[in-house]
Amino acid sequence: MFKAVLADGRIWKNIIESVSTLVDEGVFIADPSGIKLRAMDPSRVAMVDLELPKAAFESYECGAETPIGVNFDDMKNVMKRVSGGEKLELEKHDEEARLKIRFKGKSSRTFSLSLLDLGKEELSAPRIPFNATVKVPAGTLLEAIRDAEVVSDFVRIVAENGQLKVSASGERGEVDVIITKESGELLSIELKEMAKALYSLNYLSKMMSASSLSDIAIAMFSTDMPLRLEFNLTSGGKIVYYLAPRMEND
Amino acid sequence: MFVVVAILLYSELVEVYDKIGDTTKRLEITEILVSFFKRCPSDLIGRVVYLTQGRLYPEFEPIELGVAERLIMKCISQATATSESEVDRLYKTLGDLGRVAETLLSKGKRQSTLDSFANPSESSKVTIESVYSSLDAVARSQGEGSQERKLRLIADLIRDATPREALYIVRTIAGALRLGVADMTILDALAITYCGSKSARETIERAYNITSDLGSVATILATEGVEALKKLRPTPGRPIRPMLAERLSSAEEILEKMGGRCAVEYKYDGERVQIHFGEGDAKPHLFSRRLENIDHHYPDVAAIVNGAVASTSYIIEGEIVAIDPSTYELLPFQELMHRRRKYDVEKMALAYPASVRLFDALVLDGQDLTPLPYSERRSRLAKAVHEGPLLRLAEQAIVSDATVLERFFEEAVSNGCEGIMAKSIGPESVYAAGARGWLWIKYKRDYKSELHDTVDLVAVGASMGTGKRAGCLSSLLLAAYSEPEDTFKTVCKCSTGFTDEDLKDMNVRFERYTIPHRHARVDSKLVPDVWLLPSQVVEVLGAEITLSPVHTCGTDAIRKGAGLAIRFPRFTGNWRDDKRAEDATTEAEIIEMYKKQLKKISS
Repeated sequence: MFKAVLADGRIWKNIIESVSTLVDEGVFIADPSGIKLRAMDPSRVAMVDLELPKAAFESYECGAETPIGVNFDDMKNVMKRVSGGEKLELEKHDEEARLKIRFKGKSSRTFSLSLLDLGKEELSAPRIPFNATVKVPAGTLLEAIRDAEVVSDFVRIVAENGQLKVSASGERGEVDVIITKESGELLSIELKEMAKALYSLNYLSKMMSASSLSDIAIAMFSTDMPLRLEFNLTSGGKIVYYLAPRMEND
Repeated sequence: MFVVVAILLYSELVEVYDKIGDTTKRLEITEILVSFFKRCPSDLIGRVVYLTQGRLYPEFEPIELGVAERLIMKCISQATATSESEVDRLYKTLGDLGRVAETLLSKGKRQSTLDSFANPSESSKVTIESVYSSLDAVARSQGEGSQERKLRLIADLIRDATPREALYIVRTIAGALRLGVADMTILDALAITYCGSKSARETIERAYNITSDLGSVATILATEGVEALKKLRPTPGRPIRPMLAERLSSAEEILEKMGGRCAVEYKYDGERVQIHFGEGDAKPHLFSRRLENIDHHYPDVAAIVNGAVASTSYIIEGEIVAIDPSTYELLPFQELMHRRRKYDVEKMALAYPASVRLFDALVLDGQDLTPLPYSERRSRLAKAVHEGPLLRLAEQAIVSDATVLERFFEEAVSNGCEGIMAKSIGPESVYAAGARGWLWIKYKRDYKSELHDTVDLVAVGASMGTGKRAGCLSSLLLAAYSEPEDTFKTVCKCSTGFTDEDLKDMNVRFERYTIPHRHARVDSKLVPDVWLLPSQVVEVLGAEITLSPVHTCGTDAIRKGAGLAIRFPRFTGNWRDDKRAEDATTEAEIIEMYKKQLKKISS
């Protein structure tokens, strides 16, 4: 038996949207400490790692580890129906292959979602040393990514000399966004050595949909290595994305 | 002994492909192959031979790569981190997915995956073996999730490849490698590589003719030597390269060639088929003239034959013909072609029922009959087969009189046949697999009329039209096949007979066969706007054949320095997609037709 209540149903809606931009299907693992999800996009370029601890919920009960395999599109469509001020209840009985999704506001509405029996693939996060760790307001990073999208499908992220540079160039033109401590937008930067890498904006902009759930984004990367992008959710818990780089000409 | 390296990189094969693409000389192609084969480990040679032919398995294996263009574009898009619309746009400009992948990768566009960082130890060296095994996995993956699996395998291949490697990998996947290396060239190269000279060429060719599997011939040659090839026998399940016929156009000539007496049989207007049944098989397997497995198209044919042949294992040959089920009358070839489709096979089997006319037995009760004379093979066939309304032996007569032969011919034509096949019944009349010779002579209705001979010619070049047809390919440079030289020699330019529809589709039809220079096997004095890989066969109706200073077909055969041309060629509307370039009308046939025509005019 698993049952969890979120005070604001729209948080779950946003989380599901952030996940479903990258992956079609995945398995939530609920255990006594909270809910986790790790899923890779079909082309294996990006991965999402979600953690919602027990504390993020208004109430939470889960006796034993419970896998909950879902089609994110289906769940997203259910969650579109949630309104402001409605509580969300998730409930699954051990023997049932369904998840009850209940909206509690002026009335109580219960959806029952068929679950998928997905084989369990062990996904491991990239095992790489991150040479740069940069903390910025999530909104600032979102704007920089949107600027880059104006001219290209790719963005170059460079951390050196105590500043973060987000730049892009393409047939349509070029753009440079420089984020410094002086401007107050660069909250912190730690460099073991300078780091620069190219990433696909197609993926990155999808990941930025999590910026609505968090005030701060923490980006970790190394030269020509994957990016780790962490959003600590204001409501508790976190979403971490990994994104493989585009390799430069060798 | 050869120096055998443990691993051959795919890039080395790419070098070979590039060199082959650069030359127009067949001898050079042989030399390029020989020097590569010599470096190739013996357990890899079979796969190298298949890859060079643009395939993974022999033609008769029912597994094909079969990757749709859409999916390949998706793979390129993922591997190079390029939007699908951009890939699509590039494809429209370049007309070749291989070049799309090459272009994008050479711009430095390459998207890594997280997997490579999760297991950084995994080597990403692109070897011939790794390419082959990935492609093999693509070909074999089917059912649920197969699209995703294919996508990942192909995208990973492209991602790890150099631009040039990706060009050939993608072309192979798209079934468009088309190096144009003839089987005969590969046989030459194998003979030189493993036997030091072309002396063993005949043994190797025979092995190929009875197994139809160049890769396995190469493997046996490399691992067990030429003696092992001599022990090969026809085996049910492995199609034999069909015996082919020469052609003549009069009863007298045929009888003269045949020594005064021969068998004549109806030449049915259908699809030639080899029917195989091995011990333990539940039902017979069918192979087309092109050695493809066609079980899928003709489930009813397997059912007709199954149980009707008194033999534990056999290979028999015949013609599948369409019939009117109410009268059992023969219907034309076009009716049968409705059956060559992927879907609704059962429905089509009911709408266009098939019947079988058998004419030869190559194996009966496991015994190789190919060295026996034809009359013996045919009588054993007759003994083994229980005839029924749908399964019959080809109509046959033994003739020694031209009038009787002519009457038999007319009877065949009036019964809906193309003409007749005359077959030698002498002691030398063995089944000569893969060979065209005078043991069999076809006599077709078309050649009776000097002004309405249709010929099947190979498009080797094309030119743009003017005026209303500007910017469109609208004239084809057509060639006949020279069997002894294995080349294609031009015989006419054809620009009439095409419908507006044909013209509209022409650019698209030939786009994938366009090559930057004259193909090594094409012999032409004319230079068209674009050169084509000799592969598309068209049926053309000609008015007459004349001496020509510009065409190369039949050069010196009639008059020194002059070739032969077909005058007033007109496309009949039939794209002969069922024929390979090598199945086209031969140069010798054109010369023969010219001589026939002269006789008639002077008499």
